[in-house]
Amino acid sequence: MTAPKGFDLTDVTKPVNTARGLPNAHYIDETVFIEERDAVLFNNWAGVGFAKDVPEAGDAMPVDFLGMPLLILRDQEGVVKVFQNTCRHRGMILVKEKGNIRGTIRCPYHSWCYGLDGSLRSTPHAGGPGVNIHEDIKRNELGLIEIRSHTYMGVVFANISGKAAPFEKAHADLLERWKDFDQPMLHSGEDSSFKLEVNCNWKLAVENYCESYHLPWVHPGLNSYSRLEDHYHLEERNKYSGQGTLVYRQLTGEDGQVFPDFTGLAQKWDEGGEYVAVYPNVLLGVQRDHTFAIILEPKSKENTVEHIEIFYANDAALGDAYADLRAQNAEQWKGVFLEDVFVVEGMQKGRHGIFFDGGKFSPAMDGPTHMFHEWVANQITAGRQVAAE
Amino acid sequence: MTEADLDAALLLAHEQNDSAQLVALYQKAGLSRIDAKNVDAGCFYLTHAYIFALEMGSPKAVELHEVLVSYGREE
Repeated sequence: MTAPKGFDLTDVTKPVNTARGLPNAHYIDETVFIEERDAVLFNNWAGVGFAKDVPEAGDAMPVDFLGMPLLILRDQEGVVKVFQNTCRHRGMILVKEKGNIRGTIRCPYHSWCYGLDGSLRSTPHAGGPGVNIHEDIKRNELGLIEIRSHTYMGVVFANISGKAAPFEKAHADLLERWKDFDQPMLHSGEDSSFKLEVNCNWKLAVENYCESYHLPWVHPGLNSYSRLEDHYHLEERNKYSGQGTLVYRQLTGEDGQVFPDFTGLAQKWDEGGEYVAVYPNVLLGVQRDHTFAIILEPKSKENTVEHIEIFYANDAALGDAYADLRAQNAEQWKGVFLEDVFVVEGMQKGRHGIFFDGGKFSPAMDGPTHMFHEWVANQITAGRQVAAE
Repeated sequence: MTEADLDAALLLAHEQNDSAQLVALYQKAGLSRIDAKNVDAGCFYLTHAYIFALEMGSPKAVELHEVLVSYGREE
């Protein structure tokens, strides 16, 4: 028996019945990890942060996304923007800690100053002591580098390469599918926020999230009310994939208390819930009374941080009267996601088996996961074609 | 305030990250140099006042900017 080939993706893009999953190298090889960083994560709309972390004008939060220094900030008009967090002068990191920018961003090195719109406002002593101008320093050419960004369902998406189609176009199908949820998502703070550090490649978390096949085995608590046959696949080829349930049951407090619903939802959401992997690294879930968003932050080829935030429909749900129910809800979701940890970490370890060939999909049950593999393979192939040109 | 007192106050303001005080003290230092006909030194200090005013969003940034522009030191 010989070890399977490492980098050929032809088998990955075959139909699910005959396809193989991504080769081991895509989970354990540093070179491929870097290749995927550029071709998969930087070249598409990746989740890099949450808008709720910069609630006020001037709030700024530095983010290190796969080594890329980003600054998420809310400008004076209330719009969330993303900049490269690097001074145009000597490349110094501009903002080291989350905080509010009252006036301008001042580089801690030579004090070049930038407005919240990224414009270069002053270059002290650049023309000599006490002279802040120089004919060769053209401020209008030296503003902060803005990264294309878009906020959806509370998540700040960034297209670092700048080459992706506009977010509204790239994700038009999902936006249409979930147009009922195109309304404010409110966050209550720490009681609806948690993160999990998992020892696996980020893609394994996507793959596990996409499919319902594992639910009866890994989440046996669901069997009593949410059976496998109550779920359906969500498959939009080369766009997104995931799963839906027909039997979403609202969390109910001891006194019958339930969270208030989002307004104007279609009837399908009375007992419906949908869980979508927004390629590459964002996992979203929507139900009648709350949504959640997970950003998978790849820390290395075999380490990922899952940032999980839960959102509610209106201010009432954020009040003290719902504090216990919110805590219960967060605990419930955390319990579900913790049940998945041994799976994704186990698959990571399994991919060090040199004879593993990417795996054989169940044509009936693994469609959403295969769809993600196919999309990743297509991104990598496209990246290789660009590199070869 | 002697020059030594001013220097000491500036160092303390830097230590305490007291932006408002930094603006006030650098402005004072700058204007005193301007009064003494030492425009270069004055603009050096006024630049610092301006930068800290910009950083903290102080309305003083406007007047400091005007002074620096008047001496051909700012855009």
